[in-house]
Amino acid sequence: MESVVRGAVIYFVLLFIIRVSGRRTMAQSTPFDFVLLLIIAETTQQALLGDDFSITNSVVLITTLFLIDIALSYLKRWSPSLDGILDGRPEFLVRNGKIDQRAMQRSRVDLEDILAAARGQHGLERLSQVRHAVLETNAGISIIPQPEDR
Amino acid sequence: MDDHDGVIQRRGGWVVSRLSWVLMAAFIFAASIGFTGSGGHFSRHWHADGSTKIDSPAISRWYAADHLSITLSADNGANVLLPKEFAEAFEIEAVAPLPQSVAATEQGLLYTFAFAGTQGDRRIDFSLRAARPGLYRPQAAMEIGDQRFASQPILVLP
Repeated sequence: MESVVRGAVIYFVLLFIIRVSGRRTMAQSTPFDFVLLLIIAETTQQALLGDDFSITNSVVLITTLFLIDIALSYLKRWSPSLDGILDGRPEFLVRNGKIDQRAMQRSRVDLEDILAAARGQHGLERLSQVRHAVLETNAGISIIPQPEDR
Repeated sequence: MDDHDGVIQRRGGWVVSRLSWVLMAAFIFAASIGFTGSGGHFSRHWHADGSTKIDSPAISRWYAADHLSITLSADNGANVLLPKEFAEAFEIEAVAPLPQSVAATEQGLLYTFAFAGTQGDRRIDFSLRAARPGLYRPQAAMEIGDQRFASQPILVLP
């Protein structure tokens, strides 16, 4: 029972912390973010396992984490508002060629990130060639070019 | 024909996937009520006779910490006999309070405790760690003072 409780608590704590820490684009990841991820993984492992390194504990924990994930995926499909709370919603950073400064500030994304996504996805050189730039729920930026630049 | 086979294969995969989820849910339910050890109703054996109560492991995990708790009413002291199969299944890492003496007998380990001070219920805690996986069926009874408690099987999961 303890393993199931530990697994569930850690899952929801991580979900909460990652959700409230905000979406940063993957392009903004720094080497320190990678180190931070390793530290979180190590700390989480200790919190999950304690001093119980048995196979049974691992199997119970893995199954618990997967089941919560499956259950949440169904709940999110069933309730779009829950989906919005857990995963957030896509956000326009550039709409019809106009930059939304507030959305960019909220998301901690700068112009360079949008231009990098525009170059990578469509080979665009200027911001005027971008019709829409959307920060997706997976923290990536989708670029939709102006019709004449497609 | 190929398309038809593909549809059957996809449907088969869907059924296997959903069946697996049901099995996973059943497994987690079983774990929640103690069938995989580490807490939960079925992971413990409970005995009570008068003022003596025993809380001992029924299902434990290999090399994971566990405990045996005995609550008894004794004025001066008490003897506790742990069956030898119990001592084989678990390493006894600590005992609180410390026993006055420990003797290895034919039936198992005999702990002698001396109590001082006020009268009333006493609690003895054994900190355990499962030594190796397997099913242990103690032959001898657990003895506490002059009371005998039939030993229950202990399952140590890998």
